[in-house]
Amino acid sequence: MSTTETQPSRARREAMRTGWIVVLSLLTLIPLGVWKEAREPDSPAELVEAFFQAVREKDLDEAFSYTDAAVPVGEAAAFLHPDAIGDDWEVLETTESEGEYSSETDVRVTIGHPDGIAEGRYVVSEFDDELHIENPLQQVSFAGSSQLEIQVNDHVVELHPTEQVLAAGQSRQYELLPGVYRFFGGEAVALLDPETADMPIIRPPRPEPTPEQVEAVQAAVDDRIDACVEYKTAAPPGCPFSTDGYVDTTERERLEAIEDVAWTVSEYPEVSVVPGVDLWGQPALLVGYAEPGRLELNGTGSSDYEHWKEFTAACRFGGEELVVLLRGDDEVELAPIGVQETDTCRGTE
Amino acid sequence: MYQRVSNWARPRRWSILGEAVLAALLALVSWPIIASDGETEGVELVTAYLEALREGDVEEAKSYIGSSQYPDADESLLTEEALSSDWEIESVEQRSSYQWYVHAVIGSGGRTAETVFHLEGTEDELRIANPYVYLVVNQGPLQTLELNGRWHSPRGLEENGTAQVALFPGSYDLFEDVPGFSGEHAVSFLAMPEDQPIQLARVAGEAIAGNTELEEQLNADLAAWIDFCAQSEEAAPEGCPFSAQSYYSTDMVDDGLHEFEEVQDLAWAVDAYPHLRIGSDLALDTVAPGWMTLSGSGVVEFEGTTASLNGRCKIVMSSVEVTLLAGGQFEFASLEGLTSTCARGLT
Repeated sequence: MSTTETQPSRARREAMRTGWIVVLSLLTLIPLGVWKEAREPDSPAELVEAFFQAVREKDLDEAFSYTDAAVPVGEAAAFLHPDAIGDDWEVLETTESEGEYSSETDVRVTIGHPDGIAEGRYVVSEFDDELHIENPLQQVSFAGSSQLEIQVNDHVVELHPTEQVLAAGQSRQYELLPGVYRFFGGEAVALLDPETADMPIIRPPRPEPTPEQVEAVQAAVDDRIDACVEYKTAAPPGCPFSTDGYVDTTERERLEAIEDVAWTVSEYPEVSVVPGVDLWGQPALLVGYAEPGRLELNGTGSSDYEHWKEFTAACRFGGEELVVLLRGDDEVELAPIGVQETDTCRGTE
Repeated sequence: MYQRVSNWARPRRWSILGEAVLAALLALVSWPIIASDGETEGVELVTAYLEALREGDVEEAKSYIGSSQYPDADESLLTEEALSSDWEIESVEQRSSYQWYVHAVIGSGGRTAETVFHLEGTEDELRIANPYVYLVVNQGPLQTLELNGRWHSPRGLEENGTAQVALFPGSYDLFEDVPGFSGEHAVSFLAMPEDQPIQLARVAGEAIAGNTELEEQLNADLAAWIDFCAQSEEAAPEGCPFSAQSYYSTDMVDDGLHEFEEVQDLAWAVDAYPHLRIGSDLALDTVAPGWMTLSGSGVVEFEGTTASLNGRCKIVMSSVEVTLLAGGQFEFASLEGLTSTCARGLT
């Protein structure tokens, strides 16, 4: 009798105890929730400070969570990376002022870094009872360069553009978080003005090829020439030789209306790497010809459009047609500059 | 030792231990819920959209789409047949505080593609404003696409020389049924919406330019077409890239040296086949021009004497439209009614 009374009451006690433990466990979460809520910035200036703190601590997810930005993806986001964010700066002051609209507040930020101080303005807007920093990312343009790498602080990104892009030397745009940056290890530049209409343009230093790269350029030019002489046309595309159709033969006769063209390499050029500019006027390394080499052009042509004859003409490798692109310490690529050399035959002895 | 353990593990202590574990589990389960803001409706919407596409449910996917797409794009490939399921949803999340932007990453075979989906509408009825990828196709040998096994000639290509094809996000195999695109030459890409339309040459140009098997096929088909044209006994073989028809009269033949009337036994022969190459811009390069020879006899205009035709005529590739067809063969058509391409005779 006593056993049947004891078991339910014991089970009830156990159940009650379990229930209390569940309740108390959940109650312990309340202060944690309150603590989390208390950490949320509740003024525009605090929000901006929290954003900059997150940037400085390289906590990108936290930083973006304070903004209304469409976080960039793909190549534009290459430098939204912890290694691309410097930490030798700090926020010295934030001050609030009225924004353009009633829902907006301007927050001026002053940061200090080893080379001085910098100021910027950020707009904080309120909607749905929450504060958001309006897109604080700043677009930066890098001018085309012969170095297929871009360095922002400690982050190096290798470029893999198509040949068409390489040839054009096109600039590239990236989005950066605010802060202090050293591009290619240069001087500190503070980026604190997302509202600016003048996109900063970074001009990479002209790279110096290593001896290994100079050797690699010679091999790359030889390979390109071998591919170019496959073409039985007057102006093979992207090649360092061509004829405009008016040929001086080895017998010193000028022929035109040339047909049945074939190119043969007699002597490869001795190439060098020379400073120059690309199609867009940007500094670039170009293939130079210390010794212009020699190739033969064979075909048929006419001086009177009545009679055609076979001819042989001497040609050379020409001009500054190829841009040299450096990758790492020992790799190179070549890209046609985009301007077809019109004639590398006439005048060749 | 056994006695000590059994004494410790009396029923009451088991109970306390179990309750402690329960409390810890409760805390573990509850904290992330309290700490996070929860999955937003936008994230749920984008996830549902991508899952519908993976499952090939186009109708379901379209129910998540807004109305502000690019109006002139060809939407013929927005079908279940053009979809594949060999990709995964890697992540869908709201990365900034703005609920109208949802960041998504998909992956396949070690590659990933990401985008930010923009939402529109009201909070109660969110829709995706940028649901498609736009692929730019230009006129050229590869203008008729095979995507995920479905052949399609983009609308508007003939009129404009270029067309934009709308695609759903996902994984696409290009020309997978064409022999030259198997193995190491397979071209596949992951597509996610971008701010700017994607050029077909960007996703496939380098792979196609290095495809020697494709180049061999192209030139073999070209040679077969030239051989077919050479069988013609006409001065201007119809649809062919060479001609000896006089500029002055369709009844006369120009072999490059003379204009002939009353031509007989006209015959074409291939002197040199042209050689073409598809560049990384997906345009055709002429590696070597082609030539035809022309024979026959006729009366030389103004002279009235009978003489042999002795023409050497250029194969004019600039007027030729080349198209890769289903099955992997190239089709050729000369677009212009050519007059004599015989600039000179066989002198």
